[in-house]
Amino acid sequence: MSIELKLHKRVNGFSLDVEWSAGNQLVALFGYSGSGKTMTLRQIAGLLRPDRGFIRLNGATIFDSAAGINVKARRRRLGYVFQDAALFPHMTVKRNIAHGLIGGGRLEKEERLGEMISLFRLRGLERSLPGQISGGQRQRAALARALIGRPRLLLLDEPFSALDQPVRLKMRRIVQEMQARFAIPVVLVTHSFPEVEAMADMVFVYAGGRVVQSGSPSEVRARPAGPEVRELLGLELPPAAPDRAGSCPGGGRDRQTPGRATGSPAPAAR
Amino acid sequence: MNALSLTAIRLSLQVALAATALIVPVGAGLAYLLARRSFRGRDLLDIALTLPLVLPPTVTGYYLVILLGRNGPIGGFIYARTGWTIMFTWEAAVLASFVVAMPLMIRTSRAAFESVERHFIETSQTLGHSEASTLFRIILPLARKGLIAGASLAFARALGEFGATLMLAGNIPGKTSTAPLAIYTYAGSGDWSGANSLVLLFTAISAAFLYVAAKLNTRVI
Repeated sequence: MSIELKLHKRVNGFSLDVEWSAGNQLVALFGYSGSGKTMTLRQIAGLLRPDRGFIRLNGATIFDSAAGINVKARRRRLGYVFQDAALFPHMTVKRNIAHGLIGGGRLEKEERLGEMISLFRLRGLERSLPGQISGGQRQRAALARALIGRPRLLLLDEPFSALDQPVRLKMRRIVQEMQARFAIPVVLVTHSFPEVEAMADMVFVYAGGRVVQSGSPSEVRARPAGPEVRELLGLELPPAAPDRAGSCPGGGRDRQTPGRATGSPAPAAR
Repeated sequence: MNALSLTAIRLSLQVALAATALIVPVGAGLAYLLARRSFRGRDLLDIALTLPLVLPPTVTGYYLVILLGRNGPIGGFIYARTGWTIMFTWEAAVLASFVVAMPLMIRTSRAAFESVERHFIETSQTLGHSEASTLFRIILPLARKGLIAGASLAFARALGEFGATLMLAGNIPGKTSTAPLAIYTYAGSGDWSGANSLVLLFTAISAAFLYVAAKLNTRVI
């Protein structure tokens, strides 16, 4: 499986111009918010139409502006997981996952559902509503729903950013396991470089609607291409704004106020 | 309570129920179009469909008479072919209530459709579901509170309809004289006991309806 794309899109003065390809690997789109990462994902999924360009999945064209090809989102057979998991709030966990299965016999459906529920360790939660389970469980259910229909590609839009650190670490491992198991390209949008380093085989660094660097995470870490990427990696501070903080008259007072916090036993003593 | 009052109440309920039965599918369908599609003339359609909410019902009724009367473009066409006119029939009362009460259904259900999160709809699409499947499995269930609220409001408005009904259906006892019109007749002719009993019964029915609607609303959370 592979993905190949070239996209041009202008929206409200912002313009996206990217061209990249990836094989059967975990690819990270890394950059500040507003750099065009999510926009890229939405265009791959068919939720947003590029002005120009093409998208090929495994050699098959799903979008080509020159040839007038634009396969509908529902016919692209991709998994898409949103940051908020987007589980349907009126359906149980099991029914949510079942929504990813269309057609097929009843027995086959049940079997496949059971398989995914075990795989994503959701046993015992089948009848729970999304509002009754934890953030990590919700993301696992969303992954199960996205993967149950055997998609050709999995798109993850900052799926872990709302999770606590230990849960996030577990989710990273689950996604890596699934990438290997389902053997499909996974495109992960993130603004955390530690996440990129922990998970990705390949990273595309986005800035201002362009890919400013690509390569393996360790290559990017070792040789960041220019100050923009160094800044994104946290290796360089952003260009300093005119510094007036030192002369700010409020500064001195602020530094003294924490005294109230350290004296917290005092009210009890009174 | 005399037979005429009872007939008026029965007719009112019958007209309001029939109007609501038409308003729910038509109003929800129009609300869905207004909420989820962009097309030329959408704002104009929105205004035209909302106008009956703000116009005096007599004005709405007047338009209906012009359009549907025996000499009107639509009414004339029907009369020329079938010899039937809707004027002064109970169907006219249904139509008057339909036009006057539908904006409440459209506005309430449109807001409900628009409040369904985009991510839910997009997820359903990427999972391979058609627009119809997404509508029935995701959008309608998530918007159901708004749809029920809209239907309740429309029914209540239809039950109390007076002006447009008077214009289009007239005030024929036993035929088109709904409870609000019968009360007007009683009061106009000085029959205060008749008016009193009908007013009390009508108030009780409306209060009971509000109670049921509120119960229904808390049940479907």
